[in-house]
Amino acid sequence: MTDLATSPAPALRPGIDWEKASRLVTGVLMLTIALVIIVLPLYALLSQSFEDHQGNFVGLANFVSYATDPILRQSLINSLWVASLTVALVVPLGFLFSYALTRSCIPLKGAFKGIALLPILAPSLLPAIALIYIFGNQGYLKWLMFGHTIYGPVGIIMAQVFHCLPFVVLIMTTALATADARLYEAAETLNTSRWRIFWTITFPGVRYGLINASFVVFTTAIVDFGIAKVIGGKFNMLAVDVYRQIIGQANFQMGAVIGVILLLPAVLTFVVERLTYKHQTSQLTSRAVMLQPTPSRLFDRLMLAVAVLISIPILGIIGTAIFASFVTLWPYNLSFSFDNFNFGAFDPGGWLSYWNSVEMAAWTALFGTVMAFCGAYLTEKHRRGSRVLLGYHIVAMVPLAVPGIVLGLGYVFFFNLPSNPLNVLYGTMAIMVMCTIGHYYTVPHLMALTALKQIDNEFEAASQALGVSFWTTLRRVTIPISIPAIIDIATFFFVNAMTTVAGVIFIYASTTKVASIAVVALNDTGDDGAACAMALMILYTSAGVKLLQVLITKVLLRSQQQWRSSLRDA
Amino acid sequence: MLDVSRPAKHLAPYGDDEARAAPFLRVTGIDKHFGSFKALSNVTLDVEAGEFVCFLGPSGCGKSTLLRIIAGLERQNAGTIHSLDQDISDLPPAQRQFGILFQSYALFPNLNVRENIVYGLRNRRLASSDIDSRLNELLELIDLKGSEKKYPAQLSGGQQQRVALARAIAPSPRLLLLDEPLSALDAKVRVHLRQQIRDLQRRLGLTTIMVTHDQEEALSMADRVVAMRDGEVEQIGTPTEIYHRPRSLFVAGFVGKMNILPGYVSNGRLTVGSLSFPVPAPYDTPENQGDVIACLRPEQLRLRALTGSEAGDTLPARLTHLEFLGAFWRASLVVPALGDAEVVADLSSRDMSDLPVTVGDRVGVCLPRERCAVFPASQSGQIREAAQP
Repeated sequence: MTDLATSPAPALRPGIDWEKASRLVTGVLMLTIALVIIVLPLYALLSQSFEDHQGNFVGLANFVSYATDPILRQSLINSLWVASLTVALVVPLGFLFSYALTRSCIPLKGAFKGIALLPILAPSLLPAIALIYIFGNQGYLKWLMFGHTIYGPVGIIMAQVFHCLPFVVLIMTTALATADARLYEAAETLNTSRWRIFWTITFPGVRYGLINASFVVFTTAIVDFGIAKVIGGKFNMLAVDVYRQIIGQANFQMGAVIGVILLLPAVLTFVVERLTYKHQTSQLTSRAVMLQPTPSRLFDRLMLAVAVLISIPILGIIGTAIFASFVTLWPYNLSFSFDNFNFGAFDPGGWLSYWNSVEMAAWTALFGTVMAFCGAYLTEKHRRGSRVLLGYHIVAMVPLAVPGIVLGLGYVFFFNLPSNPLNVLYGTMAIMVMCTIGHYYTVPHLMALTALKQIDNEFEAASQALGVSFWTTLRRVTIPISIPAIIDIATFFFVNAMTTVAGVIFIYASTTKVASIAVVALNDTGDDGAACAMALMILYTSAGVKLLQVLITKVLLRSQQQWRSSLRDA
Repeated sequence: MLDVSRPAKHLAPYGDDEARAAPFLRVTGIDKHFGSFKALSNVTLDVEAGEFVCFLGPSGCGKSTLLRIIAGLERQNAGTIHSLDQDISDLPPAQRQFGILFQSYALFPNLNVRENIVYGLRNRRLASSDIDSRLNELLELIDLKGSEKKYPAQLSGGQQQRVALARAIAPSPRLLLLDEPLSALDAKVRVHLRQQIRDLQRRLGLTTIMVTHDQEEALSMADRVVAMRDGEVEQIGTPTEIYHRPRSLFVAGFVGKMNILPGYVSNGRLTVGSLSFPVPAPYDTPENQGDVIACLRPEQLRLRALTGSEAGDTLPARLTHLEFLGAFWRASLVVPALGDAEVVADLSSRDMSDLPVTVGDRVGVCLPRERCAVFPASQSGQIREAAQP
């Protein structure tokens, strides 16, 4: 027992603070990487939009010539009303679907939610191509169009609704799930009608979710490139204009101007998101009782009907794509064949583009996850008094406001500069991975921050006081606790890297062509069957990875149940 | 054998004795602000070796910040910290060799009891047999032998706190810092654990600082209490000094209930209602002139049967309210001689059986004048501040 007593104090001498030094070095490194993959390309884009062909500063001249071009102006108007109409359609649909999932007792909720989230796993090109099979010139439901054409705003909006539904469902199920049962009980004891309960309790609770969902859909619809490219026909949209200006006319300045215009709605979304986020967090107190829906025959049947009605078109679109991928030549020869998967016959890239996609997604998942977690870790646990980390955090939030096509364009301008030593990266897999990480950086950053915020900050203080370095605690405590979130982040990066089109369309080289680009190319050459097959390969791969994630997480949580049970209460 | 008899030295707060050795911990002139908010200003105090010191104050008074500055987890804006004449103001926490026990326990959930306790030992390149023997001693000390394979989630709150304590003292810290260690526990466990911590501290002779907002905890555990208010040290003293000789109305009100009577001081005499007597010695100060507040604790008042010819310190009163609180009765009395002021007296069961009283009775209330605490009337706002949680 004696040796437990306070031993005579050994000399206290200050040494080099390795922890502080390594923190600073890592922080500076993270900030530098974030600047290179996010900020500098954007800066290059912005400066390009104020320059003429020779690189002289011309002020707003490019913007003026944009505004005076009637064709370009028309596509701005087109983009605005198509995006608005998409919001008006998909937000109520998504809300109804989420309401059925969270507030009723319908069966198969898991399956319905899975169906609603399926579109996220496919590139946006998939619904566009499938809609051509359904309603196009040789579509099997063409008569439903009553003589109108699917090529144009109708097709774009339909495909956008399919593509955006998962975002609305994700946001709205979260908003609707966090309701305080005590409020509903109080209202019921006061004999309030269901209608009034909805408008006085439910609606105020999800208002910010609805605003958020609307802005997210609006931005996604306005900046999406793939859908408009495939099904837009002669109908011009902003994102396609960028592509035409750059690839078709090599007019980089005008491309940059449209890129800057595309930034505006996204920046607006970003601001709204930040503002409403603050309100949203104060909605629920820790003492709230979670609302459990009670069975009600009529209501549940109604909600089931809603869920089924919304699920049918989703499954129809994906089913059509799957069917089309297995027929020899739609609609003339419907015999079963694997010909469409013989990509080499249609496109010089062949299967290589698919494997390029997998490779790019894997690198993106690996480096993206390491970066996002490290950065979030430093930001959350060591930010105090560090300007470097505050700067990093701000930069990490920027990509949320930057459409993929705009960032990709920025990469062209930044990495293509002969004076930039980094231009050796141009045309390599590395630049594709960098762009994809940069494009999708904010959400993983926030995911990691959320996971880390749930870990008691006193852990850092406790290990400091015990004389244990922060990296030991990171390795032994913080990372093991955060493993589910880390797997989540890696999956997010992988799936998005598989499906992205807009981000990489300007920077791929023939050797680094990825599957989603191949879909665009195959559609361009009229090989829609093969395009379908390629898009589905992306869907199958993303779905496989997603399933793997669910499985691994489940097994992991079960084996760690002994100590994880406390984390959920905390 | 362990020296368990090392007495805590109850000395004057600071530096009036040239010959004395440097104190174990000397905190001098600490300032700390967060933005424009001033968390601590000019905090100065000493802690002697082997002593148990409590920082007591309401939430937001800066006591936790002060503890974190001593631990090195926060950086002070001004001031110094010395340990045995060595400046440790700029040392990182690891090099100060202080153990800390957190309010939230901060036990690592993915490590079991054993791994948690030896967490700070692993990097000291100790032989694993040494680690094991230390672990066993500690488990015995906290009475959790056989639980080393359990995870924190499988332990009760009190057990978790004991594991956290073992983890904090495992590397033989020079000073133990406790940050509201008991406030997350329920009342019974709290009282039990409070004795355990105090026993352990005495047995190990471990110099300890504890932060608490619970005056009972501070009074029952500490050798000395540092009462804090608004980022400043209000008073440093033994629990009895703090309770019976508070230096301000804030301290008086924070550590217990007080009867507050308006009074007047002139020429060294205190007048309260119809009573007049010399100002008690410790309060005979230059500030206590003119309008003052005279304070008496409820348990210091005694009731007597009225005889008609009352002695100098007994006043007739009417009992208006009686409340049974288990261990004692709380009686409210209106005293005409004090301008119909209401006073509260706590009566033990024995008092009650000696002199049974009921509401409406007329009794004599005896004010022990030498027990009176006196403060300038300007402090009267502090009583509300002290009553806030």
